[in-house]
Amino acid sequence: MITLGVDLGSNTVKTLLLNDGRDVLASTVRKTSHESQKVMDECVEETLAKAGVSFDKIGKIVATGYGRVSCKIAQKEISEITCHGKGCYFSMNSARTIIDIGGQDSKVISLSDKGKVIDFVMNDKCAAGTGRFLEVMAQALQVPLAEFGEVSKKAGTVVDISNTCTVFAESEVISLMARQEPKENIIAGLHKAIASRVIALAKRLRIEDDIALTGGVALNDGVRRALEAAAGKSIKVPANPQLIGALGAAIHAFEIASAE
Amino acid sequence: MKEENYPEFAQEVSHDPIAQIESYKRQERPVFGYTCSYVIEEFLDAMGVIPVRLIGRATNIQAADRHFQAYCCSQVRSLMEDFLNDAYKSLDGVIFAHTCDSMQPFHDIFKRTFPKVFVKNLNLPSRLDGEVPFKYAVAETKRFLRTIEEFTGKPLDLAKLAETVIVYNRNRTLLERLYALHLKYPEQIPSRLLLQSVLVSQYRDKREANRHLEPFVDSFKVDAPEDTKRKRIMLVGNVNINEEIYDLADEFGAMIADDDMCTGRRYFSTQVAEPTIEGVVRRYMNRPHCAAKHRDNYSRQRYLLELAEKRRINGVIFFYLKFCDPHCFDYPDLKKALDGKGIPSQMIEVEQSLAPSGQLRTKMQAFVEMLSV
Amino acid sequence: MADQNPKALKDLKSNMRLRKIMQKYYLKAKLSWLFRKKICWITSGGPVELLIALGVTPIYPENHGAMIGAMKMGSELCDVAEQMGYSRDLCSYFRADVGQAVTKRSPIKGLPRPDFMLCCNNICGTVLKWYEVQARYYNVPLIILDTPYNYDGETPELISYVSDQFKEIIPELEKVSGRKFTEKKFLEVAEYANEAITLWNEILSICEHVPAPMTCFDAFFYLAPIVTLRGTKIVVDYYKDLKKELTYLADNNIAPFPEERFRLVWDNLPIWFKMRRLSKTLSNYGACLVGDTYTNAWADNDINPEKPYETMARAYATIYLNRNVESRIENMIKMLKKYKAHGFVMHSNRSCKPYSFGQLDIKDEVTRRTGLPGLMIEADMTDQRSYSDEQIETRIQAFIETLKEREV
Repeated sequence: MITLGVDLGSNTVKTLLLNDGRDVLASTVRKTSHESQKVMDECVEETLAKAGVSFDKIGKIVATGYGRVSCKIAQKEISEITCHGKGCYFSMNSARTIIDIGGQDSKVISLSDKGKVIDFVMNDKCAAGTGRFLEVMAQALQVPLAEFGEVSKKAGTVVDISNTCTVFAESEVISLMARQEPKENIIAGLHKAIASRVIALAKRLRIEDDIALTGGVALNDGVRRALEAAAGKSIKVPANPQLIGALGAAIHAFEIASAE
Repeated sequence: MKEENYPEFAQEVSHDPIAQIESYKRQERPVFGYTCSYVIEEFLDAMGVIPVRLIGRATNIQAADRHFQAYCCSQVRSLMEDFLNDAYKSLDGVIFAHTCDSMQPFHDIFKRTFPKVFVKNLNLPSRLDGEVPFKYAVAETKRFLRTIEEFTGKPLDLAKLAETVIVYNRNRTLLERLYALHLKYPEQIPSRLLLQSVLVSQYRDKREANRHLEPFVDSFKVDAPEDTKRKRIMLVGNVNINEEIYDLADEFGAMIADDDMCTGRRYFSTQVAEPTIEGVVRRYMNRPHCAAKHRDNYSRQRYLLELAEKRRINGVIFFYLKFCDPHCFDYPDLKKALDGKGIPSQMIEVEQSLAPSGQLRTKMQAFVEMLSV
Repeated sequence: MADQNPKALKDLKSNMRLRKIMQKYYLKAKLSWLFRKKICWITSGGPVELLIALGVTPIYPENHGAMIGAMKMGSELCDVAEQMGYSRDLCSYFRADVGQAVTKRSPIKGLPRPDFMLCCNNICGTVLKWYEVQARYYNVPLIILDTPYNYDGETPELISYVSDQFKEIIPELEKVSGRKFTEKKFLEVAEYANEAITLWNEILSICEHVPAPMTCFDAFFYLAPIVTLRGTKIVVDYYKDLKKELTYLADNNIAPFPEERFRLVWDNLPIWFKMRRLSKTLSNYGACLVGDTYTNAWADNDINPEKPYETMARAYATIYLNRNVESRIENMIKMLKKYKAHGFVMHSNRSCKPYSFGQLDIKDEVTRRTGLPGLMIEADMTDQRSYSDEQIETRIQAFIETLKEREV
């Protein structure tokens, strides 16, 4: 049975086609726009094309993510917390704590040994500690966000960003640039700042090994290193961290269809 | 009377406290707004005044910024904003009770900002334990009553108090029955109706509230079994008029089965045993208490665990209107107590907002999903 | 005698003496078990005379919080509490206290654990919640003195209630301390307390002198003995000497900032981690803080040995912070006059709601009635994260411009 998971995030749309609840047939990631339905349709089309599967062959569709309520093609919508839990445990069954830094929020999820979500905490009040924080800074620094991980490797010193608020931190970055502070040092400092916010959030739960990092920001190795430093523990990134939500949704779709 | 659609009535009334005030003013009846559920309504009612609960509704705080810093309690700021926007211009008076560090200066600032408004304060103790605080509570109540006489022109009539007590106790009984019926008929009595019914009691003359609620409650068979499919969530917190959380619980196949909220069970808990001044004061001193009061170091914990057990609660949501110090102090140890009993919990803080929130939706959905596996 | 006289504030013998007194106090407290003395944690507005009379060692978590702030350890300790689930919006003294209790990290390696706690809520309702938390943590008895806020002034009902509680509390204190309460000892302690308060009052008044021999930031440090050891002879002797030394400085026009172009009054608790820097910034503009409402809060009580319960009740129930906003307006106006001030600075302290709410109205009303301008700065007393150098310095600069304009 073929199932489809759709993760409608605030920054990107992810779709993943799954066979028998365990074999990934194809997947797509695209930047979203104000026409999110259109982007989603294009994503689904592309995924189906890559897999050589037609739409009517899909047994069940589950949507997750920020925009899940408006997903017209899904038969069910499930929270991204449950989906990240399921997707991450499937990819890495040693995962007991999941850190997901999304575009607009960050979450930390505790899993039981059987992969069930037993607790979670979300930061959704403020941009610092989310992907947004780094996006804003990428603009200010005129460095593409995708290069942050590489660039920060060259950092000689990690600048201390004292402001916790994104808006004030941006001004701080600009004045650091004016003082000729090397960009790699600033970026390393930003990674440290976001990591300390996220680990502070994580400490509200019991942080248990293995710790997994998912979401778009997981592609930035600089953030992962900073998180490890802040947590004092090693942090693993599952394969295709950005697709974990869609994967979890597709697995859920399979479980629901099997139960019917 | 059964033809009336009680849910529609409850929705209409609970959404518009100002309309209720206006309707009483058209009938030329005196109305006092009160800021805290420790204001002893029975006395106001017995003295011929209709007490209406004041809960901040303003979501865009601008004028109140001149009086309260941003780190001030959401309830105080939005209520001040409402007053500055003239929302409550029809009230005959405003009654405060001693509550917390934010309400305390609010009283002073309110008085200076609205010098023409009739404002009085019931300075109940922060301690609820023992006879010494009780003795003071009674003495202070008598002093308070004398200040209300300035408005009514006559003292409290004990015969009228006896009649009021019967009405108020009846209202409490009816709300208790509604909560019990909700567990048996979750479709006909959706979770939001619990909140709305408490608000109806807070916004209207309780005789009317009873007249509408009683036939509705009577229309259900008592000996039906309780629902076993829906997961039972309990809300614990301060003041809330946000219906979304109740609706979300229902939507995701769970229910808000019970609560320890000021706009919930704490409001109607505990009957008045004796229709005297002392008897009424005792009810307020003895009922399950707000975090801003002290009975002993474990009183809220004991109450929470007992209620959770009695109602077979599957999960607890600490639902706080933002910047509430007393509740935030209690939270970690209360959570620990629940963890000890294996009851999962989640903490959600909101600001004054009646608009639907994607974040609240995600949290509730994830929580219910977590309980359901 | 002449060369024994101080040449500057920093040379005062009282400075060294203060350090010694506080060191000895904390050392003795940590060794309380050796002296067979019980330890009681008490709030800054609490009736410490009772403890001294019972031979119990008082410990002030608030004083410790000030030390933590001054040593810039506030944020790290508050963070510990936040990780335990305590909201970042709660009082930073409380959060730091939880942090130090759990980690034993602090300028004095953590406070000695209490045998029991005595909480008086005349300063705020937060202390009641704070002490509940810690009493659970340490599993010790908590005794509460509930002093209702003076919404309508001091009503006889209010005074009776507090007086009744004193009668209730004393047997309880006897029980938990294992000591007998004697009126004789209590009256002796009360007399020392009264004397210390009178002396403290006189010391603060010395700053009416132009130029003032000390700033209110200095007063915040000299405050420690009257808060922590009120009722002992040590404190009386200490303040007698301090008064002498400060009087000498004043008489000889020796001041830390002699060209007081702008004399200012401070409102609310200090920003413990920024005092030196703020002092310097202000002095660069010729401004200096000569008086404040916080230290003056300890210049008020008066216990009458003939009616001890009633006067104690009144003393503790009507302290500055327990009185309504109207009285704080009057008090500020009085202080501005007393200290011949040109303006005032209000610390909008996010950790202290009862003190900070009302400031906006007080500021407007005081300026309206006196014509003197006021400056609000938003910060926190102990948590360094709630402070922005640029923001505050910009505001100070703008305020100074306002003061300059009035000079002309």
